[in-house]
Amino acid sequence: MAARRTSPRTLLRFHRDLWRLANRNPFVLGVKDGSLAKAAFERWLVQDRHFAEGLFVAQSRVLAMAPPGDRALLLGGLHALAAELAWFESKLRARRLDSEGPVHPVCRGYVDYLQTLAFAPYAAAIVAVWALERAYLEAWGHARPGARPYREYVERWTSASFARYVKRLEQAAAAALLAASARESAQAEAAFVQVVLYELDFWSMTLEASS
Amino acid sequence: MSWARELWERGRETAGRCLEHPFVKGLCDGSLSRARYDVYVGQDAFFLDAFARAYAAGLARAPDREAMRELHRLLSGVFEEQRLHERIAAERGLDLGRVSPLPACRAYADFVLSVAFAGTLGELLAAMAPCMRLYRFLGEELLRRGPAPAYRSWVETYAAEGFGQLVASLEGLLDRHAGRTGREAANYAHALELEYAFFDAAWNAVP
Repeated sequence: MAARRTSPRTLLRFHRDLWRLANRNPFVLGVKDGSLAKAAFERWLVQDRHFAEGLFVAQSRVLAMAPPGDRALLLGGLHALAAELAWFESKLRARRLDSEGPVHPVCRGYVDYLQTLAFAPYAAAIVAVWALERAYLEAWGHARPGARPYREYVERWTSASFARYVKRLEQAAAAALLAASARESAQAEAAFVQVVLYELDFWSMTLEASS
Repeated sequence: MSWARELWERGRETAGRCLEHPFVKGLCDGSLSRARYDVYVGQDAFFLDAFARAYAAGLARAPDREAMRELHRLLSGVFEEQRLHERIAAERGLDLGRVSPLPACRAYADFVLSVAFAGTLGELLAAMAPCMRLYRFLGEELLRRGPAPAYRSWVETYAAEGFGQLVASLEGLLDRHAGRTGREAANYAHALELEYAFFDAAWNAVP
């Protein structure tokens, strides 16, 4: 196989079918046209808070191994996540949902995976952080403008400031991949695919009535 | 009651389900196909890498030299088990370096590594003990039932006295270093469920 340089762009291109499948999913399309059941949305919201909590811890570890040039970016992301967690609490309270409710196995697997990034090369870790945020931004973009009950959420997760953050993560991932060895690049690609697979499952896990 | 014993008693129902899983029953009545067993061996080899790293993480945070030595022995036990897998793989012509983990295996490996990094030593030991205790339980039960000739050496590995000593050592560590917390109990129960899912995944991987 001819050697190729891995970049965020090539990752998106080589895995475009999986990427699209994960992001343009029944959940966000249901948010767009209003067909998503309130109960399914609320089950998802509780899990998304668990996810944000796990991401906060995982990203703290990625920050600890980041090169100096990426620290402010990842720290800024952690500040935003802390604010997001407070916002989740208020939303869940208003909806009378238990924020400490059981973690769905898919969410747990995803969050456990993110913690293992601490053992991965930095290039794989930053690619994973970029990929999950970019997937989130794109998925919510497919829901735009969103049916009335969900519009506020769509606007929050497609905001210009969030898009700028994702763009800067992409630049950080590109720089890390440029400096990565062939082996590290392969690990980064595996991390990208793993994140997208978890995204796919995450969006569908609360659609089933049993979850 | 010892904490390890109490957690195991709470998990007996899940352990019973593992014992009755067609994969495990097939080790005795011979109905387990070699294709499914091969999948299992590959997945287990992948998982054991994570298990070894988790012991190493436990060793790094052990509070005293005695715990360090015990964790070192347990880590060596994993390497022994890996050699068993390598022997099976060589006989069967499997390439353990090219195993791609099934979601159940991935989830279990990530769980153990995640706790290894983020949890307390007690939480880590509680996440690791079920694997050892369950295999000891299965080994003894299956040996009593009489394993199929093809799977006798697998069963004997876990029924052997040496393996029993490793399990006792891990459970002793758990008793000494755990805080009897809800999180430890949750980790133990989660690991047992992942054990069941692990057998189930190998079983379902082959039509």
